[in-house]
Amino acid sequence: MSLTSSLLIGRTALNASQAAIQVTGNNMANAATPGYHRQRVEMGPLRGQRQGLSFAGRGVEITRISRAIDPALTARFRGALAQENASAVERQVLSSLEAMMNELTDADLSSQMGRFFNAWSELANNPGSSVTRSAVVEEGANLAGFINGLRSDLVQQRGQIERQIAFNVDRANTLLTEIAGLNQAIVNAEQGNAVEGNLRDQRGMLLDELAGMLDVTVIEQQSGAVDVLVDSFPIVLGSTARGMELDVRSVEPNPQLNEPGGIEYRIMSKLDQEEIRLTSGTLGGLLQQRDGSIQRTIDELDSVAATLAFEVNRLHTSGRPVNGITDITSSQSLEPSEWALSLNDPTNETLALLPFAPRNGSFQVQVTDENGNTFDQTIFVDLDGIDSAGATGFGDDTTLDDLRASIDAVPNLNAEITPTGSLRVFTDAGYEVSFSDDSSGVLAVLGINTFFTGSDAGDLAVAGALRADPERISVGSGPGENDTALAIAQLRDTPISRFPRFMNGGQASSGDVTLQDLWGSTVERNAVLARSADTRYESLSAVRQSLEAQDRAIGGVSMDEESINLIQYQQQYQGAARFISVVDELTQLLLSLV
Amino acid sequence: MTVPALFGRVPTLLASQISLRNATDTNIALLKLNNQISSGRRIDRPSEDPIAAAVVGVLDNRLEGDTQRIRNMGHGGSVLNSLDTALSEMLDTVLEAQSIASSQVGVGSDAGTRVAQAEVIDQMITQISGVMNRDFAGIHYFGGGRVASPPIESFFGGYRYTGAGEGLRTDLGPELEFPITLGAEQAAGSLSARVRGDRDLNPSLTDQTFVRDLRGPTVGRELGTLTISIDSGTPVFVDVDLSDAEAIGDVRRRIEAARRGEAPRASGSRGSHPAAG
Repeated sequence: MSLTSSLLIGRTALNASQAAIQVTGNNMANAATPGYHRQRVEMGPLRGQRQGLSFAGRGVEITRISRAIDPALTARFRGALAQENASAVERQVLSSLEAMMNELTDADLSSQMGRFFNAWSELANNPGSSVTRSAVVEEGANLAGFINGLRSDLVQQRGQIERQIAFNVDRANTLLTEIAGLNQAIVNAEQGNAVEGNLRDQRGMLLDELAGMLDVTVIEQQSGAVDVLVDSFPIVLGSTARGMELDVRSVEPNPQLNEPGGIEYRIMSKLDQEEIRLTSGTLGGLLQQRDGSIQRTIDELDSVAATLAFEVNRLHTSGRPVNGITDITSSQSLEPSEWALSLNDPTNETLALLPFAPRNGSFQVQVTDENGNTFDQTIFVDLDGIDSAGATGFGDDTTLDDLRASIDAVPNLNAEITPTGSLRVFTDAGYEVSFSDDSSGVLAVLGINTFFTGSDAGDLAVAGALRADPERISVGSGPGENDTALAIAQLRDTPISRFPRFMNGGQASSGDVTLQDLWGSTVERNAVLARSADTRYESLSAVRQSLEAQDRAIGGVSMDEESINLIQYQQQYQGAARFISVVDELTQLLLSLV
Repeated sequence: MTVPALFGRVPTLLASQISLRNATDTNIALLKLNNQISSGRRIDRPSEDPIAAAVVGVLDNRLEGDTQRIRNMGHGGSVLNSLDTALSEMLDTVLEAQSIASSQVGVGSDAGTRVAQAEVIDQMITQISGVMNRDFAGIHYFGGGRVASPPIESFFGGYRYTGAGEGLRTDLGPELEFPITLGAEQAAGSLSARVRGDRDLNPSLTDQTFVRDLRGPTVGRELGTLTISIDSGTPVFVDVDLSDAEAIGDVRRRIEAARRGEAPRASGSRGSHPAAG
């Protein structure tokens, strides 16, 4: 053992304390950096030197600088983050739905429907009043406009979700590229024998962000690089980002299977072109909500609009306008190839795609001359699905051509199919026509003397002829009568049947709900879902926060600790410096003796 | 945000984040309370209390409907008051006419007096027809169900009633309609002629006969499913769905189709109902 050896001991102490002070300073500098994990200096004594029968120490060395992190906890945290984010999307979307529906206020669909039925009730009180007729048209237009607006809002909300999906896919791809780049940098920096904490923290932050978007699995390799998997598909392998892409495709409607068709969104693996199924994360939540709550609410609003239009029209067609009808054209048109197809034939696509369908039944035609003499005739609408031989088929069921011919055969009444495929009914001079008792619903389906046009929430509108001339509203089955208006007003409380297209399994329901109940059930279900989403989010958020707190408790920087460490390393440094000074004095003393 | 119980250390950033979250949670709760106080409503959105919101929704709809029905009652009351006044006037006029017409009974009046009295009574009848043609805000309350035009018109020296029906009805609730006008024939009678009609009082059953026109236990009911037994050695039972049969022809075709062993496909399906006879 020599004074030179002692100087070397002092040097090791100075070096160690300097490095420790540097690490402490770095920790203190990143005390407020999200995702930063504190680093710890681990010191150990240098191997001793034999001094006779014993060993004397040779100083201190830094054995490693480690990151305070628990990988298992981090994995759990990322899983919880993905679930929390999916739940946050669900909560946000359902909350937006509630805001759009605006229920429990005076500006909601239930109130609009109430005002519409009230207007008809008022018209029933004053069947001759032009002002009240105009009010009915206005309330009808307000209701249709409200439904159009609500559907437009829902579609916009779906569009917003679709844009968010596209943005998230782009952002995820950027993250994958950055993670792959950091993998390469870490492997280069560490060379398998050190930990580059700052680069790992950067990568950890990116992985956290990615985990918030997708439910990822992260597997660390010996080299320090990580592989990232989603739904068992590798999207990052070492320094290679395999990427993913959004696949948007159109699905054709299938009337036979009651499938309405639409646009489908899928996430695909870019290299393998396989669908990646996401169950959580922001992206998973957005995909679920797009196909779930939003689409379901749009479908149910369409159902309400179609049912409202059909039920009101069914009653309205049986009424008579103030001035009678001399010439009327259906609002629904059929392709020329469909004119000879029965009205219930599934290959008659125009009608098959409508939510409502005519059924086996009949209606009455009344032709009245100038003296008030009326001729009644029943028009049978054969839609029983049995052909003339008694077998299943549409061979002798009623077609548009048949209907035209039946109406045209009524004395002083004429019918033709216009070049655009609409059914036109017109009387001889001096006659007017009215319809009643339409058990087949064919007049409402074809749009003859209807109040509304359209078949869903997007195109529902008051018939243009009524908007132009409210006197064309049917108030009763005869002049000065009010039975039509009264029946429409009472739709408020009348149980109706839901259309097969909007029912599970495609089966029509028996009359069990009113129109307002139909919408009310949508509102109630969304309210329950929103409430559940709130509860689920709060629960998942608490789990995520707890795991995050545990992670922070391990890896977060405490200024108190670091301050104490700093004092400790400062004293170590001061002691080492003093030790070197003493050794130096001894050396000088020794040299002076020479 | 709660503080985990197993903390061994308190990092600076974590402590500040917990404090911030707690403050945010408190602010959100305060905002909700503030909103409740300022709006006076406990429930702002249905999701805050779905069960209570469902009840509120139903009550809102009921209130909207009932408000209109109260208006209808008010309107009906006004029309009926006018009708009552008119009936009272008519009664007075008729009693007066009766008094005038019977005043000369047993006293031996001359022809001139009787002509004068007849003219007076004739004017009274004209007066009654005028009363019966009165309207309330365009509603001719003696028009029965046809209230748009005056229901009494001159007809070959007499009067003819052109209204129809028992009265204009107003909506007072689910399946509750109440007439607020009166047919003149109920109040004062109308011209009548020999009863005749163009209906066959002893009709034959044809393919075109409506099921709803059948008499007997089917009245007010709908057809449902019928089970028929076909026995050609081994009995076979076949269900026939008649629920959307409109006319007898539909019933015949469905039974024939079932007999051929083919289930007919309905153009629209409805729930099954018990066969009504």
